[in-house]
Amino acid sequence: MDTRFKPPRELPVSDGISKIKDLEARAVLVDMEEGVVNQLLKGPLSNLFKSRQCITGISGSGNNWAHGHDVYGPQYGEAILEKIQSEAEKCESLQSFNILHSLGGGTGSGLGSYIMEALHDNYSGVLRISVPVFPSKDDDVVTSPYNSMLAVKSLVDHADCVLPIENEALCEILDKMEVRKLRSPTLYVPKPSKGKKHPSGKGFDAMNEIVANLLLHLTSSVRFDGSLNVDLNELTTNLVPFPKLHFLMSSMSPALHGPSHENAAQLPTVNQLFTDVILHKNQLVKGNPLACTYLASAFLFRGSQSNVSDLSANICHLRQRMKMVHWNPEGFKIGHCFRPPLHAPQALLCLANNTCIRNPFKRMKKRFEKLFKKRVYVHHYAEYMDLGTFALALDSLEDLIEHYGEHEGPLMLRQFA
Amino acid sequence: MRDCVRARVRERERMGVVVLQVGQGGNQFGLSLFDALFSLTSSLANEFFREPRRSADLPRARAVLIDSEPKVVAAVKRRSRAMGYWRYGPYSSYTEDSGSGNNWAKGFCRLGPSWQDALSDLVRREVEMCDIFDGFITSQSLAGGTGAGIGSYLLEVLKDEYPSCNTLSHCIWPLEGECTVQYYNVVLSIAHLCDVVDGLLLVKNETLMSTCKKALGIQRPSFDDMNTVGARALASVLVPAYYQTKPKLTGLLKSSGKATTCKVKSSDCQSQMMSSTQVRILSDLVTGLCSHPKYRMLALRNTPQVPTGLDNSTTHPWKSHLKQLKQMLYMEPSWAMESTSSVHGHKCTSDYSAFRKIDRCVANLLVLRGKGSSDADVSLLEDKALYPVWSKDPLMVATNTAPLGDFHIFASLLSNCSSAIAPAAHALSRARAMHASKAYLYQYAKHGLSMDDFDTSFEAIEAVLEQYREL
Repeated sequence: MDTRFKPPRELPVSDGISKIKDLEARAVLVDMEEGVVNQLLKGPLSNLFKSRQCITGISGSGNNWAHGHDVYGPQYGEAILEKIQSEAEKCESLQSFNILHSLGGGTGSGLGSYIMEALHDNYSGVLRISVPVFPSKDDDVVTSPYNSMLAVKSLVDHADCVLPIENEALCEILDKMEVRKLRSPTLYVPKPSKGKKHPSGKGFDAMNEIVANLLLHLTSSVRFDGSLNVDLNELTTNLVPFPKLHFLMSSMSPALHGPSHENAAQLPTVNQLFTDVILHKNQLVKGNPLACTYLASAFLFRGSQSNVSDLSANICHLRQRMKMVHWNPEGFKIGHCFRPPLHAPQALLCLANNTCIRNPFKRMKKRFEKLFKKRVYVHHYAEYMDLGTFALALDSLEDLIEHYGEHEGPLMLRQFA
Repeated sequence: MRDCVRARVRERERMGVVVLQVGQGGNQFGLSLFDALFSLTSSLANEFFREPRRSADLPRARAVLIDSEPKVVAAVKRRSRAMGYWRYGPYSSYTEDSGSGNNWAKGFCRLGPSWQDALSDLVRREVEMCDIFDGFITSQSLAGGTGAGIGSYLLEVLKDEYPSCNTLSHCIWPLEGECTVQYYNVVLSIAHLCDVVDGLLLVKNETLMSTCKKALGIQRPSFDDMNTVGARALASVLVPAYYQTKPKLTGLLKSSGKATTCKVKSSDCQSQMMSSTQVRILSDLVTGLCSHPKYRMLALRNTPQVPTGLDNSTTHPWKSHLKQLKQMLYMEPSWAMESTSSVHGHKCTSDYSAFRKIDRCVANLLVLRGKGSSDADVSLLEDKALYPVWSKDPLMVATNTAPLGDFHIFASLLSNCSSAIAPAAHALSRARAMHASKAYLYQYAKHGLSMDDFDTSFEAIEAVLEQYREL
């Protein structure tokens, strides 16, 4: 899947080709405009993608979910499924589909929703993991509140697991990295890209690197050895107690690259990684999980310098700061992969099913209602779909917010002295 | 024919035990177990290893390795080759790529049945390589989907295929917070295993970790460290030892006696041949430790954890070790306090002394290894207060004058006792709380496990707990 914001170069699940020269991404790239995909096919990673993996249109979806879903969906659906089929057949054991898309536009959200539904119908036994970009308040697409609302319904109904991303949160993480760079010059900070920039001035490439890191970390246990392997299907079993509550907060420490190896004194300890990863400033969606209730959480550690007793001890400490739902006070999943990431000696990923995920949904709902109250731009959608779809999507979102709200605990569980 | 020659002839007709390693935890522990079985004895334990076809090759472990993903089994085989003393058989493993997703129902209801034929064949091949087959020992963790789910299914299948064989299940009890759905998996596993295995040995990761930290001074123990401790403990009751003839044990000897064989060096052979019967750990489970069908839960305690030198000045070297073992029967902490306070993740030690209770035992197997073991005074463990009145001859004692690896002196106590009550009760209460909120149930229902199936398992566990509470 392609979007304006994400190059889908990282699909590292069980890459079976051993020679580095001949790697081919297990990917299908879809866009209703040719520009971005063509750039990829000519760019530095061009040998990873073949044009037979791509489906492009010409005129785009006009930032209209209905155009993407109800026009391009049926029009391109078969061709897309064929390409997916040919990629799937090359896998010995297909674990999951990772769908990378943004929800603000027309293709990623509309056609993306259509594809999600089709995958549910045709590959019901295979996990569907979505990594969507939620639009932020300064999103330059005026219809993004409609598009995202409509897409979320599809995610609720057809995805197994969703790891939302907000550009605002990524920008803040990058800001903090730049501040830290002033203090420790060896810290890696992505260079500003020449291409399109987020309104904050940050390059999308830098922000995408963080998300790429997330996916690498998520799949590290599938690719490398460890003392406690965690497959993708284990994540869904452990983190999704009810079928629709599958929206996870994600955070990493370090978010990108740690300080260079020479500066051993600056290397964070494993304890520090744990304390950092639950802070609101490190979340990839704006929210403060410590202020809300955890339904379940997973801590996936990469690195060989620490072992299970360190991880277990840290979980014990963290528990005292985390509000756990009453029926799951020990709702943790630990993973340990021996291989550290490329640019840090150790790293930690936290995936949390936390009720604070309601906040981005509430923001989404507010923006939607502001626009829909006046029926602004609605006629563009009426051209392709029945307007009742808006009401259904709104109901679905409200249900989701309410359902999460039911598990919001009243008080933190107190520790006995 | 002289006794020793006769013994050497019989030596070739060894009882074989097949170890089934299932899941990540099971395979990692299994590797440590075979390593311990190999290195803690002076000669090859033929029950657990077979000679390779070509004499130049290394001995092969009598094992079947099973996992739902390939990495762990590959790593375990690689490590055994790297050690260079013994190996796993080249065709003794079965792996797939799917993973079981920590879902007991997926392992038990889906993957188990679909792999049944392949696993049966694999197991049969290993069993047929035993001259006389004594039974299975399984190594599995209870937290996940493979070891717990597929392991439970496999044992049910094997119970049907080998109705007269015996099974000991070595189950690893997870740390708190290893896996969100672990209490479901633990409860479902124990409920099913209780019906099909002869003995269920529960070993807590927490206990192993604490042993590493306190007794061995390893501040940050890894799984390898913990597995080494656990494997040594289990190996210490599996490697050869001999019952001593005592008047009260004659009844027991008749029922459990198998062919008398002498495996130790010939100098010991004479003295031990006269009146000793080798411990057959699997058969003795049925006749001795787990003779009552409702009491199957076992616990293992041993001392010391660090090799001590031979102390010739002490006239009673065994006294302190036996005293410590008895202390351990008390030392299992205030369970009632632990199960409530662990809700808040914090052990409450202030009321510890008020709740000290002894773990009552149905029966005990005491294994003493080292010089003077056959003369040790075991009266501490013959204490009638330990056992219910209906338990006849509850203490079995076996010894071997040979040291255990670097340990000149080693004492192990395999007990059919109530130490499983507290952790099982804790797991049950957690599972019930999640079940009442219907959390995760749809994940299990997807693979065919209904709410009623959970209720059945909850009741089964309650029944087991009730039995042990009555002791």
